[in-house]
Amino acid sequence: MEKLVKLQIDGKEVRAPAGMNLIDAGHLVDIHIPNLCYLKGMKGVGACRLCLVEVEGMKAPIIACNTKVKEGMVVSTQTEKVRDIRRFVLDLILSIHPLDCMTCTKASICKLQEYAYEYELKGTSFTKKKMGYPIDQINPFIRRDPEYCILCGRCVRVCKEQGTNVLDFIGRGINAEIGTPFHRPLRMSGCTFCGSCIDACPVNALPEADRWRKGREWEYEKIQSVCLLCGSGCDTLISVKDGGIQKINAGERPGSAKKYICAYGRFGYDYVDSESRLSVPLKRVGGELKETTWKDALSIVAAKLKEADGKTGFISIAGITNEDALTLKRFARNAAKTKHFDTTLSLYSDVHSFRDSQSALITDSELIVLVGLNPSQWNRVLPALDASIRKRVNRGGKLIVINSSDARIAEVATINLRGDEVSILKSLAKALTGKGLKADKQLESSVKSAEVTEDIEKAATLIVEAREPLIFSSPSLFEASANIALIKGKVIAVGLESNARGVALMGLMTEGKTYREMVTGAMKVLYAVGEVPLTKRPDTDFLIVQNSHLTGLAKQADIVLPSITFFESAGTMIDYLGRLKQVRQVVEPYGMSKNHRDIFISLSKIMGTPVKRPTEAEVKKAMKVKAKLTFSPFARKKGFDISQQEFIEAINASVLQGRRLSWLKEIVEAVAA
Amino acid sequence: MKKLKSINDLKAFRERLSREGVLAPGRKRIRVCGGTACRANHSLQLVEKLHEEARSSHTDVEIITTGCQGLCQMGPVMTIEPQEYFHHKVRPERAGDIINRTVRGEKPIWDLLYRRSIGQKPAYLIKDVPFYSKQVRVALKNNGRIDPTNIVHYIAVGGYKALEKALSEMTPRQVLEEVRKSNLRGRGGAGFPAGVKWEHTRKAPGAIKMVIANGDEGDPGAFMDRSIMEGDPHGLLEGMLLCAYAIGASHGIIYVRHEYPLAVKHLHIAISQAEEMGFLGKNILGRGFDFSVQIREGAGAFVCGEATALVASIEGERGFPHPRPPRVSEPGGGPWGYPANLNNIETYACVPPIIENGADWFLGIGTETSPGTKVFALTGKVKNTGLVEVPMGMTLREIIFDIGGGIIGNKKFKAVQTGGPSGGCIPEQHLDLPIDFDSLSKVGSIMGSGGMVVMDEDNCIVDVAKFFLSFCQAESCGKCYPCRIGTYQMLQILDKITSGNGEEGDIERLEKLGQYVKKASLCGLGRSAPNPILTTIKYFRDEYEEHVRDKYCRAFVCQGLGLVSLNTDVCYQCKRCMDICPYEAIRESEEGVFYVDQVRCQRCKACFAVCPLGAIEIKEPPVLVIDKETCYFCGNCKNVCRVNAIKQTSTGFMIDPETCKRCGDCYKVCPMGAIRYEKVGKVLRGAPVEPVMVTGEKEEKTAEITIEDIRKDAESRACHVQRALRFVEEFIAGPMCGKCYPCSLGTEEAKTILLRLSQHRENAGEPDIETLRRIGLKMMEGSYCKKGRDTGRFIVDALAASEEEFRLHLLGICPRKECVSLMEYVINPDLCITCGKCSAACKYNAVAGEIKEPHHHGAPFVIRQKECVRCGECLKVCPTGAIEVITTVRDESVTEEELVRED
Repeated sequence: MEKLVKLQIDGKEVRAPAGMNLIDAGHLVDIHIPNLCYLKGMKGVGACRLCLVEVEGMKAPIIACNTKVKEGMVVSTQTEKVRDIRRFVLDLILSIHPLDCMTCTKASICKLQEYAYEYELKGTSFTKKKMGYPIDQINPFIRRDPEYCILCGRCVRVCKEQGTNVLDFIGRGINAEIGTPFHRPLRMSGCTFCGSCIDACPVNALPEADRWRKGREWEYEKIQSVCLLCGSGCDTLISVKDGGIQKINAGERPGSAKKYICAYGRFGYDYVDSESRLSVPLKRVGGELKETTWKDALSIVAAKLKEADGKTGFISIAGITNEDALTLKRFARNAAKTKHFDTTLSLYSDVHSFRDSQSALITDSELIVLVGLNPSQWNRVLPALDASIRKRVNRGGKLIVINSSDARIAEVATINLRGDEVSILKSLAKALTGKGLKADKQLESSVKSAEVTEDIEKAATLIVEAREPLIFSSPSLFEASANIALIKGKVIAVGLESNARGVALMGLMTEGKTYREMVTGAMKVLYAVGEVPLTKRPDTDFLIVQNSHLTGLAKQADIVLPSITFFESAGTMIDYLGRLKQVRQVVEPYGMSKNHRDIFISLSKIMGTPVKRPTEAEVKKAMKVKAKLTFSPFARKKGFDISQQEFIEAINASVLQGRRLSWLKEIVEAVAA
Repeated sequence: MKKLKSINDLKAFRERLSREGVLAPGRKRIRVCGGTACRANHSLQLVEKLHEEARSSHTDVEIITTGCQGLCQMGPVMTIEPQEYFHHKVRPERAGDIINRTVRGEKPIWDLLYRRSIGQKPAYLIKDVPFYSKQVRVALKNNGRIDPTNIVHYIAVGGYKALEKALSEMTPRQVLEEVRKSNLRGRGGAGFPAGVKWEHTRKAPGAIKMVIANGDEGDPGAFMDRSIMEGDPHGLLEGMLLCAYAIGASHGIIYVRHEYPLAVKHLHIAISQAEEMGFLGKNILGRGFDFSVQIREGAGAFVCGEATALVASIEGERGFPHPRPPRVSEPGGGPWGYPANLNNIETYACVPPIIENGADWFLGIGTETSPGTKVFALTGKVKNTGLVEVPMGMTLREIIFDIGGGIIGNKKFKAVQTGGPSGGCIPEQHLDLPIDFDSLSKVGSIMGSGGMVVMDEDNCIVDVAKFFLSFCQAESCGKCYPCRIGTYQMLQILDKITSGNGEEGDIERLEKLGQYVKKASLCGLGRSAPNPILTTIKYFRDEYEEHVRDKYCRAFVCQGLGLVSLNTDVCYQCKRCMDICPYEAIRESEEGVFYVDQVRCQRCKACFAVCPLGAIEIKEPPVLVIDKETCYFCGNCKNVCRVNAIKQTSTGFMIDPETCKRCGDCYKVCPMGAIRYEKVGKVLRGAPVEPVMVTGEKEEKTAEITIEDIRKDAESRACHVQRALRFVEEFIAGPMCGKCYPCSLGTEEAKTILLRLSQHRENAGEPDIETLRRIGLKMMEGSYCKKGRDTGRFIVDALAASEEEFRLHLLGICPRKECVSLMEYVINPDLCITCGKCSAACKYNAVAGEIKEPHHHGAPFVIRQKECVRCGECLKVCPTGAIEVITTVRDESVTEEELVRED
């Protein structure tokens, strides 16, 4: 437990954990100390001078963002002296700020506006200056207007800390500005358009490119949800107005740098009503897909499933909610009476890796070990993992990268172990046992022959010194990594799909034929759920595709059932760290599209063997699996080598065809060329 | 060179050197200054020549290129031993004389000796030169004595003796105690005791600690750190070694400006030599003490001299200061988080003598609170500029007048600026102030790094303050607002004041702003940036007030301050101004009116003070320009100009605004009217103007006006633009009530557009006509009452009647010749009989020309278009009808007619 310190802020007693700064301590008792440059979760830089407060016994006012709580401190945040200085500073900022609050996108959440109101400033008393900087708006994501910029440096700090490192200060004196290398536009400066700077900006210098006139901030309904587009499973904050999504932010209140989402999660939502979106069921009549009713479509499917008599295969993506997964499993077993059901999970992992993964938090870890993983913001392979690890490293965490190929994240690694992962893990285990850590006898004997190099020795020292090392492993190397965790630390397998862990825990796992077998082998009826990464029709008599968009595969199907996107239905998911998260419905289903589980339940009713809707308790029960690590020989699991980037792009093909993200793909290719 | 492996090795080496007589006194030797200033005056060529001459004459003489010897103004300087003759301003071609006369003949060269003034006897020896005789050299002890690129020289003059003593006899604790006892205060500016700082770093947890030397000397005019790095790099290294030993550090960094290439070069040489000899590296002198030094070159940002910004710069980051804690001496504060001890170069250079001679010796120099000496970079309006090292407690007068030799040209001393751009200005009344850290801060200045800029009566104090502030503004890192925008806003006010636009309250505003910036800024740069302003306001408030109130700069530095002129309408010729004017600048013209002769006027404003009526006005200075199209190069203006402000260039005559006194002689003499006033000065201060009373009469009159009256009045005009304008203007002045928006705002906008059209302003364009129509239509629909709707209709009707006419106005043509701005009056030379009636009739002095008898022999008269307001008076009086009205922009038909006529 952290020690609590007693102090007084504006006459209120505060008990704050030792090491907390005064701004955060103020928030504990609802006292807001004005600030523009402070970002919750980051070190105070003291640039804006608004958080000056007076502390009893100190001669001059001090900044609250960089002052830690002390026992018996008496702080006054609203004395005339500090209010006067704040008024002066704000007056100065207003002298170089365009005062067009009436049409400004940030109106009502702009901190400058808030403070100007609080400190009774209607304008500036100084000479007004216009810098005349050009606006960078040749990308569909971020509009950078330096004229509004107040140089708080928040965007610079978030960009730097998460490792994207595009923005920085340029110039000196009044001509200081925030810019990109060589004043290039964002699209040519290595920007990944994650939009973290948008969340960080307290004014209108970095809004979303198309935000203007899409509603004022106070008109939005803000819903906390989760993005299901990749294995990161990031928290999001979705702003909805008039039944449509207007923008998506990282799932944290503004003015905090804790959360990260990538360009897919932030800007990809326009695929919800893109051209290829399905609104009605389709059936194949004379070689062509024709619109039909739900009743008709479902009765055809029910008849086909009955007819197949157990020779039906169900393939699904692992990016569906727990509830959908449970229903699918029940439906396949009880109604369709088949054991052939599997998910895309089996393309890159077996189910045990996820069931045996442990739970932990990146922000708490002193040492992170990455085994066989290649997260990258730039390729958008687990971008949030990449960003959070880089953030952790920038705040003093250590990182060991074990990889047989070139991983970009290795550039921030404390120790980079390049080579065959299995043999490195073996040597590491040997080095660890050599440092006095206890290990299973079997384990010890299996690593006897391993060679220990200097780097591995150093890595072992780091593991020994760290409180609880956190090992992130690619699923195919999970067992080998788990052997290290048996000696010390926690191990977590990181999947490529958002609910990989959830789907595994819900038991939607290979029982009969595997995904690969069903796709290649002849099934009588094949039922594909979600955006499965297939472009060619598998060899089957009858193909049912249940997806939100008319994909290449859907065009070849016999029946297409329109399902919802994850914005249109509620449910739960389990992220790679083992946290149960709520996915919320933010908009009404598009057209006549339906929830996955509703379709299965309706089908089961038609087929005469009704399937029960899963309850929250059932999900929670299914989640309760006690991970028990046991020794298994050091080896790489076979058959799970797929290109991570290609796979993620394949399961998000419809998202990527959205207006804005297709631009991004072109730009990435153009810049690479 | 052999590596010295133990203390005994060093002792033996030292003995060997003294046996060999390295740098022993009594030998023939020339020490030539190789500092940057002397190098710029060819001292290296001089050394080369000396070598050549010595070789050819077979003279046995040792020639040493030393570091800066201090008297930079008189460079290149040299001392010739054994007599210690001092020669200054030695050019390379005098090398032969030096070798033959001074070295061989042992006689000094008369004209190379230093004299205070022409009438005085020269000083033969260096100790007689007042610049040197009052100095006490501690930090600069080896500058001017040794070759900085030769470690042997350094050891020969007792270098590394302090290290030897510390490593052999003292514990780290004792070294620290000695420094602490000596009360050595940081020479970089704030004067924080070095011993206390060392103690902090020593106590800081962590195995790795650093010693950083701050050589980022950014103050304009300061160069003591550079001189130490260039002239005695081993002194710095030894100081750092002692510090490292005391605090238990093993890594050293010297942060030096990239703009100091010689310093960087000498430091590199010194480090490699010290490593070779075993003073740096592992197990120094066999005592188990490790220390290595690296050089980091800064990119030349003033803020990087600030401790935390310097640390960021060392790490390769942008030089941004960060808030303290953590301090540099604490974990997390130094480079890459390691605690570090950061001192100025000069501070480190003071350490070896302290260890060698003991703290008590050091305490014997200087004052009680600030022991020791301080190096100052003496610059500005002083005879002997250069580097001086004096004991603390010496008065400013001694430094400036005894060492510095007084003010150049024996002018009056005004102020001295200490501490660089963050320091303050000290006026004459504090000249006898014994200077140390505390006394300087008492008078509002700081010691700073030791810059000392002397100013005389020719310096405008406001201008000086502006210079220092603009430096701080340009060098502000831009992180915190008070410094970035606050200094900018202060600069704006100063700009305003120095350009003659100062207002009452500006000084107070400056003071207030300065206080705020001081209070609210993040780092030392911002907190001290307003110092030059605040101290100059404190001591020279009257000068600021003169700038603001009287538009007067007593140093005549601030160009653009007010012009004294006499308002003949008010003047009743009491001649008081004439009597008081010391420059006889108030003259009586041929017409019998008084005027101010701007060439003679020195803007002392005595006349302004004495005039009982306020007829003397201070005006914004007008700008005179020559219209190149009209000028036919007669040269009269050039001949008449008394200050030679008119220059003949390849493209014609032009007036140099810097030299021009705005007397207006050229304006009067120009026969073509080619010279005109670009900006007619507005009266800044003068007789109080009575506010114009709005009479009740007018109100009554307007109240009666109806729309019909306005329509009639408007329709009396021919031009449709004029009609509409007239209507709208009358409507606004008369019946408009202002209740509804279409009417009140619409007519105002319509008036603006119509004015724009009728005057053919630059921003008039096609959209204007559309806007006008829109206003008219919307007023017809949206106005509250009939009056507004009628006005709207009138505008629409006018447009409908002749839209073509409106469009012609866009081209600058008023077909009905009613819009005076689009008209020009010109004199037809064929018809002009030079009778001069038009010139006499013109109220605006727009007709130029000379009356000649008989009339048709003179050059015809010309109308100056800039002055002409097209009032029509000349048209009435011209007997021959020579004055024609033409449109400014001629349409093609006119051109054709002209062509036909010419044929």
